[in-house]
Amino acid sequence: MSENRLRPGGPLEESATVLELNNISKTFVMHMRGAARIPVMSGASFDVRSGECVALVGPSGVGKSSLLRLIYGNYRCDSGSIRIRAEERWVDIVQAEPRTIIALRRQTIGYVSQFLRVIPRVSAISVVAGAGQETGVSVDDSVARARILLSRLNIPEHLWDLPPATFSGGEQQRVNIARGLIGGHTILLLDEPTASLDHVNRDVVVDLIRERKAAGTAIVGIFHDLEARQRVADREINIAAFAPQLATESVAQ
Amino acid sequence: MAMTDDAPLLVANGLTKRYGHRIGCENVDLTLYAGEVLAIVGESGSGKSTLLQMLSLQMMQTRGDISYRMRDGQMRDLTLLNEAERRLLMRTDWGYVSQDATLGLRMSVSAGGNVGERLMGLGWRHYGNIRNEALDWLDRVEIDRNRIDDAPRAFSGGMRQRLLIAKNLVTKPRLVFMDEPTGGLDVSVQARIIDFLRGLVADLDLAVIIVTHDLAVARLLSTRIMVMRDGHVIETGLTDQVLDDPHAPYTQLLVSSVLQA
Repeated sequence: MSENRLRPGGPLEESATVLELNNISKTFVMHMRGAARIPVMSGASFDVRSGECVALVGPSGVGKSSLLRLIYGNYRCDSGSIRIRAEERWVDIVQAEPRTIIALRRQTIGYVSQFLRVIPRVSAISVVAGAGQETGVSVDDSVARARILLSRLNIPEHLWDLPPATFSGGEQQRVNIARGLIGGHTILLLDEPTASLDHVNRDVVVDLIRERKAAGTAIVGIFHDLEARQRVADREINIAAFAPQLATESVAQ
Repeated sequence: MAMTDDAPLLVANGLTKRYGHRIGCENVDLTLYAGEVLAIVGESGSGKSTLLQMLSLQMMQTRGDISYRMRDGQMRDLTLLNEAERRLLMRTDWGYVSQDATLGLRMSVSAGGNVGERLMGLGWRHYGNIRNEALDWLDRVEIDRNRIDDAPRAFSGGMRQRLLIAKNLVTKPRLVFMDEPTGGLDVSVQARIIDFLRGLVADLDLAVIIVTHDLAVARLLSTRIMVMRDGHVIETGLTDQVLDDPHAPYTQLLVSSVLQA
């Protein structure tokens, strides 16, 4: 390819498809509630290209977060495929072995959850730098990048050596974002990255996301904040289109 | 993509232990690759410790085979090893960290002697080298160097556990078995041990099989999980998948029974 360009994770042709969902369905079976079946997703299909940001929209409870977790391999699909472009090959995360998924998460696909889950007593800077090391960045570079991210995200320097458990909700969320963005993933899944942030920090997160897009990262995100969504997203996908018909019927008794 | 085409490190097929008519553990299949951390979870009596004892060659199985890729790359059937080969494997290429550090440490021998013992088993004879290596490992497990000549009898529970880890890792094993490694410790001490175990596992590219009843420990340390009950494997898969989207009724019960702090 003549238009190859170096990006985190290796060269990809300009605006190539890097994520492909095909006919994804998911039903939870709750054995503690008499094996109640709760269908959450049916026939979800779409593609995402490198450098593109897709916003998942739809009413609360329609399955946006669940869909991100399915893509990350955190929830198991009942049927369909989720193909992820990993360097020169495609991997279907629905069929992949655990260690293949672990390798994908290190190098290819990152996820920023709504809440920070960390080991007690580990400092904020180590939480962020450690995430960098997991993606293969050297110790020194990870610490350097972590410092840059934490200061851009306005975490006061005197907090860096403290464990985030005692931080405010907004500070924890920013540590979480720093941790999610430190690696060189080519696909990023963002669950409400601007929730609980003030305007200044929301703008920082918007800038960080736009920088990643410019570097060729494909982004799938949930952004309730309309202004943030309009500034980062190239298009919207309404998840209500993939809502199973019987969902409400079977949850209600 | 790395680590998807290499050969497994440990393979067990149909592992079964019976005590008369009682089942300790039945028909367990398991494959472990380098760098993988597998948590075996379940309540007491689920057979998880029995399974670990068999895998680590401390208990003879009633039925089934275990094979292991030796340092020369050859897969060997572990039941066919002679006694000398078996002991060499356990002393060098494997580590075993039990809940009770007093079982794995010599309580009246100095900390340095405890760490150095496994090096001597590998043929190290130079006192200075052994002492330096021991000092290096005390640093890594955050035990004050000045305590090198003290016996673990004088150590706290958390320090003993860290010393036991140092003793096991000094020979650069490729596979470490852990049986409730943070079991008897205070929560704050547990957190610190879990944090540095994570670091060591990543730095040394260790494969680990860890038995725990604590799902939080499994979540923090392992990449893969096996849920056991009454001697049988109930569910297995990627750790966060099984804990966040459990399929088996028993796993759902187990996950929903955890107290949220």
